[in-house]
Amino acid sequence: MTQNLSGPTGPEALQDDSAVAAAPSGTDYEVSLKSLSQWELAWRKFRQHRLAIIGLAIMAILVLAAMIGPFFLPYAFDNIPNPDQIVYGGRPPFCATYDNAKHVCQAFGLVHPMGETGGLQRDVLTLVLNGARVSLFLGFTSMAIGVIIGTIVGAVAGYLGGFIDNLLMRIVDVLLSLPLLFVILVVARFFSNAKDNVWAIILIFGLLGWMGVSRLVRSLFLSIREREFVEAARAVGVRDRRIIFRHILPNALSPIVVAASLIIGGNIIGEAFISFLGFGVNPATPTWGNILSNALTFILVGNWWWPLFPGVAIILTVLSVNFVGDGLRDAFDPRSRA
Amino acid sequence: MTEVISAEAPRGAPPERDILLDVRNLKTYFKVLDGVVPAVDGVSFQLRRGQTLGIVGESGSGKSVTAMTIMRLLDVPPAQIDSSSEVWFDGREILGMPIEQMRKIRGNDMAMIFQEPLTSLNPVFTVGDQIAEQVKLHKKVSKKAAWDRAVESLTLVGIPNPERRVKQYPHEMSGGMRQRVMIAMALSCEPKLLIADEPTTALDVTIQAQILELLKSIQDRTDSALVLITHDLGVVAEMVDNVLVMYSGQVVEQGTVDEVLVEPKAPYTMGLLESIPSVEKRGGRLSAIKGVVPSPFNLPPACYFEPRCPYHWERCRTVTPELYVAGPSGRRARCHLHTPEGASRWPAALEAHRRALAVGRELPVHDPAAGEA
Amino acid sequence: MTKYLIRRLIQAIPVVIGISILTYAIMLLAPGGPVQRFANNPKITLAQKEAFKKSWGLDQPIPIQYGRWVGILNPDSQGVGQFLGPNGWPNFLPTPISGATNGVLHGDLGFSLDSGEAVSTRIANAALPTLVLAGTALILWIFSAIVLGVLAAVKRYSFFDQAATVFSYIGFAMPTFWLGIMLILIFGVSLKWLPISGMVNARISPAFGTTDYWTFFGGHPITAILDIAQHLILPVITLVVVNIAGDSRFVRASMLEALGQDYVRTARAKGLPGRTVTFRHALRNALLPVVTNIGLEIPFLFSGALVTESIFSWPGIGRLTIESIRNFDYTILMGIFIITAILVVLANLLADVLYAVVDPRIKF
Repeated sequence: MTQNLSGPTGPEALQDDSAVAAAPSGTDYEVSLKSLSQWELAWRKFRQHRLAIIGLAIMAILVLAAMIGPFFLPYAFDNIPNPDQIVYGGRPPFCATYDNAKHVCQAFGLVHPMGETGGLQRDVLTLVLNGARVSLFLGFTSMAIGVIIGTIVGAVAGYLGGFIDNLLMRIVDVLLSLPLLFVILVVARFFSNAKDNVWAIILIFGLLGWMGVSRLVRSLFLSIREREFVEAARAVGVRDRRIIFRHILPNALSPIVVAASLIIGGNIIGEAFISFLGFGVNPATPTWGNILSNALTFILVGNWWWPLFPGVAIILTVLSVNFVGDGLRDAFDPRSRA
Repeated sequence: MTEVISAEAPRGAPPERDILLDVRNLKTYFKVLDGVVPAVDGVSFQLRRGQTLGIVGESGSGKSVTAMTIMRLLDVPPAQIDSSSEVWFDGREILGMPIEQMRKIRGNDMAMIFQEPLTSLNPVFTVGDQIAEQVKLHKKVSKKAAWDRAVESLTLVGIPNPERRVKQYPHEMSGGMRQRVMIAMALSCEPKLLIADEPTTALDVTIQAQILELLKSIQDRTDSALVLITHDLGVVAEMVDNVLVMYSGQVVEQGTVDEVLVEPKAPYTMGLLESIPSVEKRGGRLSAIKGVVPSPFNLPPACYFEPRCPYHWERCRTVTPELYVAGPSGRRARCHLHTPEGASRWPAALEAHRRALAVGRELPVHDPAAGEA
Repeated sequence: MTKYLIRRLIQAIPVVIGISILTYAIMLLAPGGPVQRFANNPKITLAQKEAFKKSWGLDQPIPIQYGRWVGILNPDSQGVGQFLGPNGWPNFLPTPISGATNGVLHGDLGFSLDSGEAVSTRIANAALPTLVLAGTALILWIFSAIVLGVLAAVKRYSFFDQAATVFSYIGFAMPTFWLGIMLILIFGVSLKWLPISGMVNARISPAFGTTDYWTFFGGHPITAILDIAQHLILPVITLVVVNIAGDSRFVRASMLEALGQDYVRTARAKGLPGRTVTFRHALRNALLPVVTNIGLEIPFLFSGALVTESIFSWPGIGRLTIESIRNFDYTILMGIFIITAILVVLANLLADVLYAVVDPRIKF
């Protein structure tokens, strides 16, 4: 903080001083004077966002657990220990013998750290980890599809303007005035009897979830289109496609990334929701929604551990993607300080 | 002319009866994430009843914070007022008094006019509502009487057709009109002290003159004291009796308006005066003070103006200047040129200042190595 | 104002037309489609089948089918004459003028493919329970969101504010149905304090909505209302907790913005007590955007909460929707879709009007 004070006097000192005055407080201004790219700067700010880092860590753990976890577990997700015997109630976490009528654990044991379900007697941890695989994959992939479509529609509407813009935006209006979940449910129902319908569900969320992004991208394009560097590119005869993808899009990317992170959480909850209602991923495939749906059938038995853990998994996942989203928003916000 | 600083009353004792406002060693800090910022750094002054004081300085010099501290409008925290600071108003110390008592003074005995007339009025209430609310609160009168008072105040500030205007919302009025409403509101309880924080900065030039004229005439009529905060020396010349020049949270010069504007004693004031454009200077280069106000996080070690000062020497970086006596009847300046050590340099500085004023050229830079001339 | 309203209503027409086309298209694209469902359903009488075939124009090209469903075309005519109703006026005009009774425009939403009842009857029967549940929840959550948001803003960074932040983050991330399940487990199954399904207790009163029920209601209003209130508690808590999260954040942000405004400083400079500054000057401004938000939430009163109603077997529109989706009961779905969409459009308009009412700066 004091290094400029022993420096030269006269104009150099003045120059130095004004640079100090402009530098944000408390930071090493020599570093902040170094030119950082937008992404480097964003990453520096993101790292200081505690919740975002925690969110990122939770995400990483979940993804890792979903990918390699099932290999370390003693049960397969479709393992049904006693296929010909339907047991009414399950066993709570760390309980070997459980009296479902009196709700007392008679013997403790390390089996089933998240408990065992009633009905088919499946291991809840195994179900949750396998569910994580499907739910996370679905959340990310459907987000990607939605964001790509939304970006293309928004870019075309915002860049071309006029009749095309009007037409596309009226279509968006129409799609947005229907409650989205209604439409998703109806369409999902068409596929809900298919055996392996994960991709169908992904496509439904992707193809019906782009409208918000398209509005955002359109408004970004409308403002960026008027900036000087775009005018310059147009003046020297750069083609439209190149202007859209090379000149405007990079400048619109950060709000799109933020919006995308928030869509993931929405889609994960959405999938759980439609699967829970029985219109989503085929019940034979464990997803968090399917597990909860089965849990509801047996709710009167009082197996609290059955719905608890998949629910906590959903909350943790959505919380962490939202934290990451918040961190990204702050990181890209030029008004927030590093 | 009365001096700004009279013999200071002992700590904790009220000033003499004639002194309406006595600010003693006011220090206001802001606690922020990275540390503590001194926004007002030991400001003292006195204001007699019915008189006008101008506080001049660039943005960030602490003049608005001074006013907000006196009104006790700052949120504590992040703001923090030093425990040794005292503000005596109308015979009572107000920094230490319970906030409920302070509220009885605010808007009643002491009123404030803000810089932004466009945003300082609540958009969802009529102007009459907003004035009457204050009158009802302080004067404990009926709703009807309060509204009558509101109309009266609007008449006083020269708003035509006040009976109709009083029922209008702020957005139905122009900027100048809204500032008149703000003044009417401030005057509605006949305060003893009016603090105007850059009241004309946001207005058109023609409207500025009208508002200043209005403030002056109202002060003549009501005999309330006025603290006028501004960065415009022209406004100061026309409006005030005494001047306080502030820089980086400190008073750098004080005196009567005639003295300060004609014979400035601090290099900062000198620079400010040199930077005023005038007809005589036409054609010459307009001088400006070099550099910017230092960041409060990164203040120079001794004199805060030293890096920008054309007359600085080693002492300015090693010894912190005080507010030295720089002339008769309370002239003070925070500059080593007015100490025995710097006295020999003063004539040259004065000469340079006169030359700069006369030909409108840039100040000769004291340090030849700088090579700016 | 009137001019503005008319302009906005005219602007809304293409959107509503678009929605109706979309609704119709979804049904047409559906595997099996309405035709098959209807033809094979033993619950449907022959007369109903005939009426259905005619009013839906099942033997006609798709544009004509759509036109008849909407009510622009007269099913009793052919060619250009289709556009005219029985009275010789254009068919789409209201029944007293045109004499037409077919199509959505004249309130004819068709028969349920599943039960054969009129769609309008099914929807009307489900609307009241939804209004009760959604209305109670909406009032409670808006009220608590405002209280919570304002307190959090006024006591910014306090323990309360941070607790509210954590609560809303979790509320955002929590699926409604999961909360419902956990509430049922805790208060219904374990503690046995509260009923977990339905709207009335079958041991106390006849099924809700039947003539017998209303007779019972007339005789024992207090018992009936208390019974419904008991059944309301868990679904209402579910809805309130999940929805407070977003709305209280919204109120907090709005209040913080208002508290930072210059007019708040002016109000304090006038010597007003803190409470007056907060609750008169800041709150009044902070609530302007909130009012708009409330306007946008109105369609919820009709469409209800899909999943909450399903979990708690609440006999409302939400549950009817889910059941209809499950049973491929397209006619009911189309009815619910079109009404919801129109309500959304109207709610948008209402939100604008409300804003103009509460904000003196906005004039049309």
